[in-house]
Amino acid sequence: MSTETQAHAHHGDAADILGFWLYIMTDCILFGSLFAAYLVLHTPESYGPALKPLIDLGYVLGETMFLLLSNFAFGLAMIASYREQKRLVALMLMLAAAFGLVFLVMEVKEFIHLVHLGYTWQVSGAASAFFTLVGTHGLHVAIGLLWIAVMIGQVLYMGLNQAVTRRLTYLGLFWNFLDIVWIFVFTVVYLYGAL
Amino acid sequence: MDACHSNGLDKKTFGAYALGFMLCIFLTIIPFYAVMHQLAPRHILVQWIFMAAAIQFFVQVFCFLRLKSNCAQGQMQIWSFVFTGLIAAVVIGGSLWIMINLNYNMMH
Repeated sequence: MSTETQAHAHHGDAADILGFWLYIMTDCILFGSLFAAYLVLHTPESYGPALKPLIDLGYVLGETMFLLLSNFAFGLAMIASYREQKRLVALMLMLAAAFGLVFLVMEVKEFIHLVHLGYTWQVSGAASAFFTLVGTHGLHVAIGLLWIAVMIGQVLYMGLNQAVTRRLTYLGLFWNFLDIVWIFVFTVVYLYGAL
Repeated sequence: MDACHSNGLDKKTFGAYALGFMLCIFLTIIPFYAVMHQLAPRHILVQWIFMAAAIQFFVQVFCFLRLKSNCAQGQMQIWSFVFTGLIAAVVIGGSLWIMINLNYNMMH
């Protein structure tokens, strides 16, 4: 590769990452709107069954820890990628996916549990807002898990070339963003909801 | 501009990552513990949990995201981030403001 094309590739990288970053920013606004809807529909005098007696904080704390561990494992994968340790990157990605999967399974089980208790999507506007907000986050995590699975394959079969490293950077931003959104979900929905 | 030849992100370091991870664990467990055991009156607990969330947000941004402020690329990312924060604050704050006012005017 000539120095000119190399410089171009580097420049392209920077612009691509800014583009992906802007996508994440639009996703932030999506979550901002869902939080706004949730807060508006969860006034004390709102119609329908209360969420408060159904919240199990210990369970949510467990979920939170798994998501945090997953994020940490992904960070270790990024650090291993700087050192070109292909197998370690794949191993850490698998660990990140495993922790993320535990988080998702716990969330789905919580939803099933709530539905069994009669707190369903249709029961009130407040319940719809709850399932939409938490469910949208869960959907993002599910897509992220699929993406991690694809990246494990790419790391193992294509190696840590420039394109793969760039995709890992995107995925890292996405995965970290999901953890940041979760901070506000557990604070606003679960902790504030339980008070 | 030469400070960010590849992208607007700083390389992650194990030290910053491990520190951020520890802080996040503490900042998660403290509010959960406080709410589960009702350590303070409700209005104080509300302040605690939102403060813990705000601190954890900044810990994750500084230790995990690692946006670079010393190059043009990173600055564009940081300013778009700040702008997004402003829009989110307008959407959430504005919705709540309108609904609280509406509620007040319906009741009085």
